[in-house]
Amino acid sequence: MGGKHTLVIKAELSKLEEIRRFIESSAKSLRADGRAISDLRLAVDEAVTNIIAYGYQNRQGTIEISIDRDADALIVCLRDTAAHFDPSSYVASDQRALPEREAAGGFGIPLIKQVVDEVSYRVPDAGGNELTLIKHTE
Amino acid sequence: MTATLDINVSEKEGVNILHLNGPIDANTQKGLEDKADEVINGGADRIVMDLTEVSFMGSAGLRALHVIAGKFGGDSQSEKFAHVKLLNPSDEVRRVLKTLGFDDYIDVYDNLDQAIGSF
Repeated sequence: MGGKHTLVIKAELSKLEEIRRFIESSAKSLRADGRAISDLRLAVDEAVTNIIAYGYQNRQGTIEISIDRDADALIVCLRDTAAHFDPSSYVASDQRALPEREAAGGFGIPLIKQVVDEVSYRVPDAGGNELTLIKHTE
Repeated sequence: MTATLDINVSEKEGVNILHLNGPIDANTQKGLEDKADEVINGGADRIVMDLTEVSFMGSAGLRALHVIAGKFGGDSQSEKFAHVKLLNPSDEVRRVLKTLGFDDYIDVYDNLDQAIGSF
C-alpha cells in the first residue's frame, strides 16, 4: 500500500523500538529494498535520539514522523517543537577519527549523513524543527 | 513497545563473554555499559561481545564500545580497544562499524574460539 505514513509519538528513548518498527513496515509498503529500509531505520533512530537528547533535553514532548515515496526516493520528515537544533549543519569540535576522540559522542550525525542521500533542516512557520531525510532507491 | 537488551555473561579460558540479545540503542546503551563495568570491576581484562542476537545497533552501540574500551589502560585508543573483541555481528552492524571507522580499531570474529585465541 503506497501513500504517506505518519506516526506521532512521545519523545522518549523507550519508544525507539516502536519508531524503528514503524519505519521498517512503512518503508516496506513503499517498496523500499532491504538496504534502504535498514539505512532509513538507522538514520531515523539517530535523528530521534538527537531530538530527545539535545532538542527536548529529555523533557516531555512529541515527535511527528512521516514517510512517503516520491518517484525514486523515500522521504522521511521529522517534526518536533523542541529548541532549535540543526543537525544538517553540525560540525564536531574534535575532528579526529571518531574512535580516537576523548569523548564518546557526536557519532550520530556523521552516521545519518553516511546512510541517507540528503539531510535538510528548516524552521517551520509555526516554529519547532523540521528535519528531512531523503534516501534514493533503485 | 519497549525493547530490552538482555545480557548474559560467561567465561571461557579466562575471557569474559557478554552474550547480548536485543537492540543496542540509546535506550539500552547504559545497561550495557553498566554490565561491562561490573565485569571489568570484577577483574576482567579481556572481553568478547557476542553480537549474534543483536537485532539493531546504532551509534549508541559505538558510544558504549568507546566507553567500555576507555575503561582499560593503554597509551593509545588502539591499545584500549585491544581488550574488546566482537563476535558475529550482522551485516548491518558491520556496516555501522565500518561507516564510522571502528573496524580499524576493533577486531571482529565469526568464531568464538578464534576471538578468544586472538587476545
